[in-house]
Amino acid sequence: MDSSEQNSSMDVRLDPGSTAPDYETAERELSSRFGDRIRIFAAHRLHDAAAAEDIAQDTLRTVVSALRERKIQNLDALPGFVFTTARNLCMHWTRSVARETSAFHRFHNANADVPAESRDALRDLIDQDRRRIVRKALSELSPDDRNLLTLLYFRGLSSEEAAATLSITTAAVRVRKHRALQRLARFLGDEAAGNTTDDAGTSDR
Amino acid sequence: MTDNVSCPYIDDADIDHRYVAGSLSPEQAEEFERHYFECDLCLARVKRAQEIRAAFTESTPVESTVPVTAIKPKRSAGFFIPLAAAAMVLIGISLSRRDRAPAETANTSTQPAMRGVNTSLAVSSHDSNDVLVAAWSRPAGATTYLVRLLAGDGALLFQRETTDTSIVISSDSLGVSAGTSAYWEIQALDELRKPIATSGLTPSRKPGNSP
Repeated sequence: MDSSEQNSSMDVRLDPGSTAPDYETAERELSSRFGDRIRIFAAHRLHDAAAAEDIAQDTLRTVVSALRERKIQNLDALPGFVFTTARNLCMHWTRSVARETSAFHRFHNANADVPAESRDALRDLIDQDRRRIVRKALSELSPDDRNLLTLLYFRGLSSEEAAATLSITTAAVRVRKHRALQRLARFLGDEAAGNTTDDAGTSDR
Repeated sequence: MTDNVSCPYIDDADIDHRYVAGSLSPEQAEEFERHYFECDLCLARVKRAQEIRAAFTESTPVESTVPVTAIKPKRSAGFFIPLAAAAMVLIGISLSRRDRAPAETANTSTQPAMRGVNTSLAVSSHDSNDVLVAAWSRPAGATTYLVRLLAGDGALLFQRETTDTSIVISSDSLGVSAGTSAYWEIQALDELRKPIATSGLTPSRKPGNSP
């Protein structure tokens, strides 16, 4: 289902002229459509996977209320409304944390033996089984592919920086990245995901 | 929502991995975030990038040929004396560099240039026959540091949280094969244990290449 179909189906369920708008189904669709987006967005901003989940739930609740109260007339504006709501909730969360800092600082000092743990919130959004599956698929790639993906995704280099590191052209980096992602998608049994990179890579071939 | 034809990021091959790595500016990141709320293609790219990065930073690698070992240095006087001296030298170098560039240090510690985590934590590394040593600057607000040593394939070789600004690891105990690349990654955490600065990946010596 493409995005225009998604909007029109939600339009039908929430048609103000309808005697009984199907809010329950619309809410499920809303969660399915925006839940992951909000979690990734909030985890990236807050560095806290648990907070990101809270933000996702609060955002969806707020958006559903707005829909029920007919505050969103044009569903084409829905993505922007969801984004703005999530962003405002993240800013509110950040301010709340800042207010609690001194109290937490006292608590933390009294409990100094907190175990070491990773605070990579985006990683925490991926469950351990999935990380293991993707890691195994990465190990199936050729060393060249794996090395390139390491430079890009692990070390965070741009294509230009990776090209300089590997002594190849930037265009070659982009093509090799595209093909490596396709191979990875195949190893993951995820042909659809492999196709999502087609457009990003074809222009450089 | 955006379809594939009208996606403004369709020719941007870096946007997904730069976003998850936190290397976009706040403005670039927000523009891209606003976009992927309505673009299924870009959401799929971000999800895949997130999975790959998560797999590379997995604490317990499944397929890695590099053993994962957390090492505690042997607590003997003969071991500690030269290491303490090396750490002090590195801390001194780190502090003197910071003194030479006060404006830059002040800027990076209080005004993150990148969305995500500030990537400006300065790390000095040093190696000898027996040990790997790293020392780093102390950004404003940092209370603890998450120290990782990673192999070139992303496998975690060592991880520890410390309140110190230097660390010493016995390279013999790492058990990696000769020629294995290794990188330090230091995260500075505030009192809420939220990352406020990171070193990025700083090359260490190759632990298996003893001179």
